[in-house]
Amino acid sequence: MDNQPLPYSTGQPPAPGGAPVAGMPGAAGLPPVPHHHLLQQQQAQLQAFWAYQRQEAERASASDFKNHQLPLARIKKIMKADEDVRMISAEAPVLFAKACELFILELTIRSWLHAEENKRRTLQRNDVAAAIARTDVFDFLVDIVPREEAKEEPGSALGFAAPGTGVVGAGAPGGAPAAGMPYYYPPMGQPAPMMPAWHVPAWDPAWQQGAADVDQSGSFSEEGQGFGAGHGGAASFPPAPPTSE
Amino acid sequence: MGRKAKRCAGKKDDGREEKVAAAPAAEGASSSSSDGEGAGTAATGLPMANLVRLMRQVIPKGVKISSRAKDLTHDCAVEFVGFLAGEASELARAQHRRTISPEDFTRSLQALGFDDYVRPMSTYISRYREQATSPAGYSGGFARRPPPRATAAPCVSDEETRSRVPPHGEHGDGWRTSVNTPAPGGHGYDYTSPDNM
Repeated sequence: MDNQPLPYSTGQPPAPGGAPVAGMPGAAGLPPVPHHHLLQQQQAQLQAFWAYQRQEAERASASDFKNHQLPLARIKKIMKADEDVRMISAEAPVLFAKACELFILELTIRSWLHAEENKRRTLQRNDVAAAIARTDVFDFLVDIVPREEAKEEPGSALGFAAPGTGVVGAGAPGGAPAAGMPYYYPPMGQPAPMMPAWHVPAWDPAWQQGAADVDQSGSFSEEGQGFGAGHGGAASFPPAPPTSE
Repeated sequence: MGRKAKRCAGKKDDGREEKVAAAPAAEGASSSSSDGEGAGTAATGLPMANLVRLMRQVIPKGVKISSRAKDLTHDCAVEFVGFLAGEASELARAQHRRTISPEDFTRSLQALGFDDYVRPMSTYISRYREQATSPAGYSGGFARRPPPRATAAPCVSDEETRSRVPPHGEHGDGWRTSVNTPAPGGHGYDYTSPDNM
């Protein structure tokens, strides 16, 4: 009666993990090199986020269980809004509140990645809608997003057109953070004192002219000079220092 | 399928700027005063300030968030909790239990494909239980022994007792409604902490 068919549960289960980023199924149809690079960077950011969350869970202390980001009374009311949910153990609202925090954080990261692709510094509603459309496990939210909101912007760098492609799907659980990319996350519950180090610099216009393979893993503080230190080593960018010409 | 349709209908109402309207839930707004939130927040929603604070943890400093993006993220978070609770409830019922346990919670995460959540949440559960057994963590040791004053929070005590003892058939739907009002005696995690900063 209440058993709703889930598309991703009837199909193949999600990959257990450890899949290389280069083997992404959705990336097969992406010809340009910069798109592949952007996907790799996005995947690396999500993997770093989950690795950080695993560490944070290890460090949970008594104060973390008392000072929740989300009030437990509200969580319980949301849980009990479903008539099928009758009895809730005393531990359950704490766990649901924590999972809801992780969900909000993941959805916000994915939304921000979409805003970055469109070179914007304001998170908009269609960024959230695009994040939902791209992520398989967020299929249960498709009814909440109006149809027009899920459309990709014409200027989107990745050019995703079909909702629910899942190209930027669930990250590999066992994946370690990308080597050589230091990450810093502000402590939970406190305002961020500085810009997180994992921020990806804005797109360089030269990329759109079929530029060579260049990694943007440089620190954001050296945004104008980091291209020279990339893996590709190509110094054909206009902002490059004069010595490279 | 029926449950899905019912939930979506409820959400669409919330999404169309009817947050000021009273929630159709039977519980009403009787316990919303305990949260001390403004009138702008729907009774069945989450405080927007807490939500925005969480969002800002993972985006660079200086990035703005539009109001419509906040609203959509809020609606998705509420849907996520309901979605997860429904699945956990089904798993509990499949094993002839009426109370959602932490094990039902982790299994529902796996069943719904949230693989990345399973590991941090499992660690969180273990850490939580370690704190629950420590007397320094709580004044009353809530998770270990229920408080003797059963009249203060009868439903909470019964829920705690029922989670350990197999339920009997004689208990009907009388315990469907739980008391959301925080019970006196310092059940630390049962109500909103005043220092949300």
